[in-house]
Parts: sequence; C-alpha cells; structure tokens
Amino acid sequence: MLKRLLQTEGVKLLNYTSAKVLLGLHLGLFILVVFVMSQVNITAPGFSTTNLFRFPHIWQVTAWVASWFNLFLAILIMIFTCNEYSFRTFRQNLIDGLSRRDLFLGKSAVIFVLAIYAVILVVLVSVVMGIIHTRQFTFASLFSDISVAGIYFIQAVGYMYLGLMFANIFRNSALAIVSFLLVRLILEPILRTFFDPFVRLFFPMKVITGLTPMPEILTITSDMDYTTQAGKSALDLSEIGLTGPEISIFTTILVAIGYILLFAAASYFMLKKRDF
Amino acid sequence: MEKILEIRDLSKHFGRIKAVQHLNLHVEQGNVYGLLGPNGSGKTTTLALIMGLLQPKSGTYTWFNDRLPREDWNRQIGSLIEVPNFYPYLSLKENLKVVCLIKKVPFSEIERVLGIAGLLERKKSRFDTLSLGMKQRLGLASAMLGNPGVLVLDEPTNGLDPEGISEVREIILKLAGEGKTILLASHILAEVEKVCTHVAILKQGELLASGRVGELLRDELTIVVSSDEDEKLYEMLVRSGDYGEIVRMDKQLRVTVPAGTSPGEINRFAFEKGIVLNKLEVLKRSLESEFMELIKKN
Repeated sequence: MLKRLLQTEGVKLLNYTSAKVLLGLHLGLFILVVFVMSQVNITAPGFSTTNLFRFPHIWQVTAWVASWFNLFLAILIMIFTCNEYSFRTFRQNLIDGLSRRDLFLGKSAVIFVLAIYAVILVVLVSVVMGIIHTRQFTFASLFSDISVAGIYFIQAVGYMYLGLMFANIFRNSALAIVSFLLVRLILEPILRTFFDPFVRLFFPMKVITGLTPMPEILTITSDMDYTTQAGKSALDLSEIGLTGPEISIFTTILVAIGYILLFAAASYFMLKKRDF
Repeated sequence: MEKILEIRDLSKHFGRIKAVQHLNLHVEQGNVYGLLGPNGSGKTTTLALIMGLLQPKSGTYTWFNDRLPREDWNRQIGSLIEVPNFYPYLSLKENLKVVCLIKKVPFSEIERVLGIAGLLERKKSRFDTLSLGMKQRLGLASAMLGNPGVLVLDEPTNGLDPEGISEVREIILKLAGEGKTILLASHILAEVEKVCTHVAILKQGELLASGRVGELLRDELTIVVSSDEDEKLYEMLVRSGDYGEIVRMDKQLRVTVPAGTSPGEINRFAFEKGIVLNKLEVLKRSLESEFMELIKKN
C-alpha cells in the first residue's frame, strides 16, 4: 500500500509547478551558497577558512548551511497539504477509497522522500567539496563525521512535520506559512526569554535547529591547537561566550524525535477526527 | 437479495443544526434508490456520512453486509458527491491515474471511462480548463473506474445542459439495467421517477417516507368528480365518512380515496343518493404530487 501511496503522491507532486520551483530553489541556493563560501578564503594570522571545507569539518558546515534551506521543504509540505484542503481533494481521496490513516501516511511518505533527497544532496556536496579541498584525504577521514548527515535527516523531517501540523491546523497555505514563520522567528524566541536558560534549550524550534549547530568556526579555522587541560578547545564558541549553554547532541536528538512524534500525532488526529 | 447498505439510527448535527436525525434505511442489491428532499433536507449530509467524509453524532452504517473490511468499502463504490473535486493543475488522464492508484484499478480503464463520458479527446487537457458540464462528466467517469457494483451519485446532472442531462440519465439507466445498485440524491423529481425503483423522502434531516416508487404512489388515489348538484354531492361524500380529503376545485371535487378503491364505487354511491355524475376521472399520482403533499403535511 505504501508503494501505491508514494506513486499517488508522486503524480500529484511531480506535475506541480510550485513544487518544482521550490525544489529548484532549494537545490540551487544550497549549492550556490556552499560554492560561494568555499571560494571566499578569509585568512588572518593563525586562521584560514579553507579548513571549513576539508574533511571531516565539511560535514558540519554543509549540514549547517543545508539547515537554512529546510524552510523551503517545510513551505513545500505546507502548500502541498493545504492544496488538498482548498481543492477538496482530501475529501475526494476519501471518497475514492483512501482511509484517513492513508491521508496521513501519504504525506509522511512525501516528508521522508524529501528528507532523503535533502540528505543525499548534503552527502554529495560534502563529498565533492571535501575531495576538492582536502589535500590528503583517506576514506577514514571522509566518513569520520558522516553521522552529521543522519542528524540533518532528523532535522529536515522535524521541520516538515511541523509544517504538516501547521497545514492541518490552518488549511490555508498563506496562514500556515505566516504562522510557521511567526513561531520560528518571533514567538518562540520571545517566549524563551521568560524561562530559565536551561529550560530554553528544550523549546521545539531551539531543539530542532540545535541538531545542526553552527560549526566551531574559530576552532576549525585555527592553524594552532588550543586544547585546554580539560580537553576542550579554548576557542570553543561557548567557552568564549559567543553561544549559550548547550545540551548534548544525544539528548537533543532524543528530544527532537519526541517533538517530531508529537507533531506527527497532532496531524494524524486532526485528519482522523475532522469532517471533510 | 443481499443488503448492500444498512443505515441504523444515523444522526449528524452541525452546531445547533440537526442535519440528519435518527435515519434508518436499507438498500438491497440492484435497487436504484432515490434520496429526495428540498434543499437542506440532509441528502448530501447522508451521502457524506455513509462515504466516511463526516463523523456521525450517533448511529452506524454498514456497507456490503459487513462482508468486506471497512477500509475496502469505498474502493467498491463509485461516487460523485456534490461537485467533482480534482487537481486543477493535472490533466484529466493524470487525475484519473490518481483515482486508479487509490482504487487499485489498472490504468487501461482510464480510456474506457473517458470514452463513456465523451471526454477522450480532452484527456491531455488540464482539469481547470474544463467547462462545468465536462467536470461533472469527468466526475461520473471517475465514479465508473473499475466498474463498481455500487454507485453513489449526488445531483449527477448538476451543471449539465439538456442533452447532457439526457445522456447522464441514459448512463444511469444502462448501469441500473446491468444490475448495479445505485443511490441517487436529487431534487429533480422527474429524474428520480424515471430512473429509481425505490425512494426515501427527507425533510430537515428526518425520513418522511421510504419504499418502492410504485407502492409509495399507490397508497392513495385521487378521483375528480363533478355533478350539476356538486354542493349536495360534497355534503353526501363528507357525511359518509368513507373518503379521505375532499377538496372543491371550481365546479369539481377532488376526492382522495385509499389505494385499491374502484372509481365505480363513488359512481354507485352518488347514484344511490340520486346524484348523476357528469365527470369521473382518476388522476394518476406522480412522485412530484406525493412529494409536495408529504413536504406540506410535515
């Protein structure tokens, strides 16, 4: 059944111009930004940005840059799902024989396919850039930090499930997108300020964006080793006060998966209980 | 005959509006069942409920005598509820591909149903370029994909020109002739009378009457009589108490009598009272007159 659902969603998505435009923008802008960044070599005594595009650091950089464009994927999911409400095709799909569960599974399948596409893109760009910029690379160094791509996959899925939830709440593309941006850029950051710094780390957008944090630019670009006796780099952004406290990546992944399950469950129950 | 659909005590409210109230109905295999009612009577809500689009407030419904798993019900039914809803940016063929994938029907069916609906030449056109009538035909084509044994049609002739209405009626009659079970909601009584074997009449969500079209029409008979002594005839008929409603119309009387009453009985009655009738006409009751009376009474 999942294969049929994927085929059905494929017919809808691949013939939809807005989807092609959004995916084109996602692909083009991501490659362009990484390419331009790799061409800009800022050197200061003891520092060189070319290190950013060498293995294994490239994985963190590309995942971080790719995270900027997750918004395109979330917007695509919101438009695609809201269309089903405005064209009343969710209703028609039910009439034709899909179950309410299938409506949810169909959109989930699209989310996973898009996340896989985004990860493949990150892996390809990382490998190509890494090979170009690393002087002497080994296969061990090539794959040493590839787990970042897996973490990026969770992040992309998280963004899109949040988009799916907003689409199911508002059933209107414009409202869903504006609300998504409001929550992402304004409401949650403001709300976080009312809480204890430790509690702030567990807000949904904070957790999901925290999956691919900004790379330790100073540590990576430095030609010298500034490791302290405690085993941490003295140039660590949090050590020098440029970023706030952090929770471990393992905890971040667990909490992010929890939020994803929550967003997915909310969408599922809305589809399950709603009149069409 | 196998029960194809059984509705038990089904109710649906939208806020304070009681769209469907305690509806009980069953449709047997091969029935062409008409759902009649004025606007807002609950026809479309009933169809949306039994197609799983709305959540009922109470009550249940069962398709195919529970012989098939619930998730397969709609795949065995061809439906057109209100207006057909398709993806405006997809071509007719791509839209029907989506339906084929959902219904698990081979793509080869697409050309067949487009041919029946007279849309084969437009198969590559985008849905949003079609006229209202063409969209309605595509909806019918979609309902016929996979040659389902049951069809649920809500106002299928909406937006069609007279020729289109006639064509759709022919298609429905042909499908009925093939033994398909059809549930048809309409407010066009002549249309229902022509194609349906059974009807259910709804008003404000309540079932007023249901049964075979013939039986529903045969419950009562209207006889028009006139005489030079029409006033005396009126009084005699009223006094006898054997007759139903007696209405004066110009110089004629419309007498409602129970089905099976012979017009000769009225003639004999008048003759015995010394009144000579100069007109005795049995009015054939139409579904329309039946419907109007039921709606007015309730």
